Amino acid sequence: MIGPGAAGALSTIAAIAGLPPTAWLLIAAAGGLGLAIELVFYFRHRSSRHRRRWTERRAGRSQGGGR
Amino acid sequence: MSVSIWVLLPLIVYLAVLIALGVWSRAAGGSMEGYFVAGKRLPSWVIAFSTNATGESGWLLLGLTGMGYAVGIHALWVVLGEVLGVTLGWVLVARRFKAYTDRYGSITVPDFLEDRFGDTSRALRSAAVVIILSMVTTYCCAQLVASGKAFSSFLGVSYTTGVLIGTVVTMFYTAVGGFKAVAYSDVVQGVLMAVGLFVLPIVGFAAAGGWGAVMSSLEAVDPALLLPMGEHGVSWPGILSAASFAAIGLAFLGVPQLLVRFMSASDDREIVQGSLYSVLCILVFDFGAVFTGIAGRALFGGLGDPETVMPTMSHELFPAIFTGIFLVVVLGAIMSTIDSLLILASAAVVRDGLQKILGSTASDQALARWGRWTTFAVGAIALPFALAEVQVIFWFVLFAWSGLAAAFTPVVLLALFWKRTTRTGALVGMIGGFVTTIWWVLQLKARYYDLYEMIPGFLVGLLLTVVVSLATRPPAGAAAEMAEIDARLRAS
Repeated sequence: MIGPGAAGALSTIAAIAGLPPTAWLLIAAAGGLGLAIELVFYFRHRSSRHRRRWTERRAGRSQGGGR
Repeated sequence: MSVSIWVLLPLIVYLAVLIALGVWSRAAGGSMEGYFVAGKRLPSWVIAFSTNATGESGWLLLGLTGMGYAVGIHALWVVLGEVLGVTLGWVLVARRFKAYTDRYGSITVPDFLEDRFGDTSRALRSAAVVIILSMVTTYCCAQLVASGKAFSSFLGVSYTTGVLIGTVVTMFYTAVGGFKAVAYSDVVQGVLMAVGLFVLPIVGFAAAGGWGAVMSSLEAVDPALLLPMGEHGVSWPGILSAASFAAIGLAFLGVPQLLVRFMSASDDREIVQGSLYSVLCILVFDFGAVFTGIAGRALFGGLGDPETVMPTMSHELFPAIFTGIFLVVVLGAIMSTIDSLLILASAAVVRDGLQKILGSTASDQALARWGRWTTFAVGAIALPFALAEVQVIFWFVLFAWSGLAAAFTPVVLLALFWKRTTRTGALVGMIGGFVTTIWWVLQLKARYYDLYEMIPGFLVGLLLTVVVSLATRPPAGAAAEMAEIDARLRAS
């Protein structure tokens, strides 16, 4: 026997399933495609900038080490 | 009709903020670079909100919500196209365009095109100015009409009063404060739009009984409202309708009013940061608008005009005090587009026309002053047309949007990425894309399932630019210049 929480969850799933899978696919594509491209772009640039800054700092420290 | 002070208060505060922004930005507009691109010193969050608020006019709040109401899930093709368009605009175009325009010292898109192709004949610049002025006046006029309608539908004041208030305030802060006032006011307007489009669908779905109840209600009205391909299903009309909706987003890759925002960023880092804000913002705008319409269909099934769904929901679901707030949200969408068009037209007249084509030797400061007067003049030209009340507002908006996009997007993309693009190719492609858009609307659209004119306009512009470029002599120095830009982008 399923409890009231599980019954509620099942009815939510049933409600969500009320929309055809192709409609969910369109919703996912509309929201996810652009966002995924953007996140790759954003984090790639951020990490390359961090790497460059770290390399510059290391180079500065090794120059300062001689003093 | 008497209007409560509580309804008027948000409107008064909003208009006062815009006027204050105009006065605050005045000092930045002493030179042409200051007046037309805010001295290229804008931070990421300003260019992000400014790009989205400019790209999305009153059409977002009235037109796209109406699409959600009329065709249901099928309207999500617009979201797909716009989100991809905005993303690719930032990811592919923004940094490269900024690098080129910084190298040339450009402050307008025709500046960039002329320098990129070494055009000394001024033909490319002249064609760009004619296209910008004709489309911008139309687009501006349509937005002024929308402003009058927003005032009359929300407050019950006369249409003429609405058009006049919208025009005078927008003309004032744009003319006085220049691009800086336009960009910062876009932030205020963009935030208002985002909040409005976040709250409306949530309240709408809650009022209709939740997700399941809305979907059941739509299915009972018409099962096609829940289908991605709409009433036509997977057939030529259905596919062309989906493609037409998605193609609206193509313009985000190259219309001049958005490219100017990329140019005005203070540096490359601001563009990377701004891209994230912009994509998140467009997701809220577009999903919010479509789902507002969908909730509205479940709640208010019998509306004669789907484009009244957003005002209807704000009247029926919120206390009267919120009427003023929602008017401000709609006005924000409209005015953020008008101000950008006014400044674009002003730059086309003063920088491109007066200084570069006619060869005016007036000082930089004098030309910036001319910019202010031209902004007033463009608004004054559009005003009588708007007062005459053009009926089909959004037809004009889409036509102007597609005309600008078909003329500029293919040429700008090829100029940025293909070193073999020539001056003649760019000129023929620009004129060809523009003419195709008009020809398609007037002669062919009805015969091809109402396929949106942006698609043939863009394709013809792209094809003509490539074919004519291959048939003409390759430009000298373009390859070395592109290699330098590539190296600079890799290093930044």
